[in-house]
Amino acid sequence: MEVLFQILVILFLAKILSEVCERSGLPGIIGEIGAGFIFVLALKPDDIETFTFFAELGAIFLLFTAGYKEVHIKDLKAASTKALIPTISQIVVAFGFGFILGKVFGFSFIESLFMAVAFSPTSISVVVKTLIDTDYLSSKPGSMMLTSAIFDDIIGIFLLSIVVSFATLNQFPSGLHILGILGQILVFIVIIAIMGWKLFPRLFEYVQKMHTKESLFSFVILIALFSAYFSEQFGLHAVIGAFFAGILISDIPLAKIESVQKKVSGIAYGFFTPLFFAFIGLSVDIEVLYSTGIFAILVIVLALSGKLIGGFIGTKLVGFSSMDSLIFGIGMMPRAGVELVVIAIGKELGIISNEVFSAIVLMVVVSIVITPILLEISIRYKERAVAVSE
Amino acid sequence: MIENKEENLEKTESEKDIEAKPRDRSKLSDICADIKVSQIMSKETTVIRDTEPIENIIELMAKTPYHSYPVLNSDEELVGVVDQDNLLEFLFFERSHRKHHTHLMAIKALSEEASTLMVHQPVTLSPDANLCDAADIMIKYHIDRLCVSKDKKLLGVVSKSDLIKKIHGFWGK
Repeated sequence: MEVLFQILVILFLAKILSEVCERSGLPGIIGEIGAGFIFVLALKPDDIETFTFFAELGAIFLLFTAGYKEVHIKDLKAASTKALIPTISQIVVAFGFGFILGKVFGFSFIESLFMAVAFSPTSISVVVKTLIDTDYLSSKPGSMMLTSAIFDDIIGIFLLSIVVSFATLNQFPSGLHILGILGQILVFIVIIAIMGWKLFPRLFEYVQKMHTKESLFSFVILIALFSAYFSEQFGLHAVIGAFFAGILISDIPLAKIESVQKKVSGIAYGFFTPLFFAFIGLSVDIEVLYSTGIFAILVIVLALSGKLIGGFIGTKLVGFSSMDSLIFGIGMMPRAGVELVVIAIGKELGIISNEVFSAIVLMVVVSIVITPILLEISIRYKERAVAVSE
Repeated sequence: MIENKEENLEKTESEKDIEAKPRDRSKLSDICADIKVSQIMSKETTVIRDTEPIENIIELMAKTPYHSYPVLNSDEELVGVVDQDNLLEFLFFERSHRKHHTHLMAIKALSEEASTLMVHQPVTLSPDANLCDAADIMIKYHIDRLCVSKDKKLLGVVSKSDLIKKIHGFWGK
């Protein structure tokens, strides 16, 4: 009963606070993180083991739906290689800032690496509303942001797979070790890709004809869980398998029937992912943040400026104006997905401390709140400058 | 008792009578299972090219009564489907709620032609599929029109109304 009560209260709080955030113009994820935070302050639960398991499933579903609904192989092929330079530039600078900050504060190699990876991804959906409102979605920096975000997700997941494989090391791995890990990832991708290409489409044909209730929906969920489990057998984290499975089945016609997709979204966004975000809020240690104020501030400043500077340099290299480069850099600042999965895994493996975890959650919340504001200011500033010069 | 028996007898006979008619569900299923979709599909269907500008698609949808259209590439291969929902989502993207502002939807909102607007790789039927197969998919997954294809080539389109017209044809006999 205790577990039922926990899930009930957290899901209720998550939905109510998410609604409050949405109505005040903020993404609902802040409310969901807040729900976990308030839950632990108000009820101080002793045993959250079962809830933690649900939250892990939430992380699996978060990345599975990201691959299933948001990343299409065709988009990747179509994405201009011109976006590669700004994408790599902003990821490298943000990654570098994260790693250096960890080293300056005396963290271990692997903890610094986890921090660096958590600094790297971007959640573009946070700024789409601002881009629409300012009529900048189809602008040069706007469309570059969208293209860049396609690569960003893939690179983020790739970095996560590597860093999880390094988790057992406490020093810089040897070349042979890196090759071994890359080989492992490659073998996993090849096996799962062959399954996605040859086996899954045939199985979907059979499953579609089954008389059992919701067989197609269940099969989609089974593939997510199977790939998650299968990736663990290759020393990769479950979320990585789920992400690749999502990408693969997003190309299978029967798997992407709208009514099936809606059911998968329903179980993911209606139940599992709010529990994951609430778990993130629940794991934040506010007292640690007070005692390490400077570190938390540096995490926020460097994570955001890493994206800004990297994005600015990258777009300048491909010929953007300074204002457009600035707009692009700001647009790359928000984080709201993969980075939280990275730190959740880091914490689960006992690699990152409460200090780092809590500071990064704070950074995510700050980035979600301030990025749309900064983006709108920079776009208005550019428009004023253009109007004056005319 | 005798009266009751007679009533029962009458019922049984009328039931037999109903069974003999094609309206009977099992009979209808049997008949439908013997008819291939290739026999009832519309072969001359309105198609959209993957390079078709969105303005032309809007014009086409305004002039024709269909809800969805197959999209073909330059090799005459079926590459997707554009339906009214895709078009309305595109037209009203700016008014949609934040939860719809995903990366993929934002990319679709920048579409200029069918290739980015369409749903890639739609569910298709093989020409050998029977009417029951088509009806199963249409009912289970709320799909109005299904493309019939073989080796990526579009052979025709079968819709819910095609099925109903065919069934109405049985009744008329």
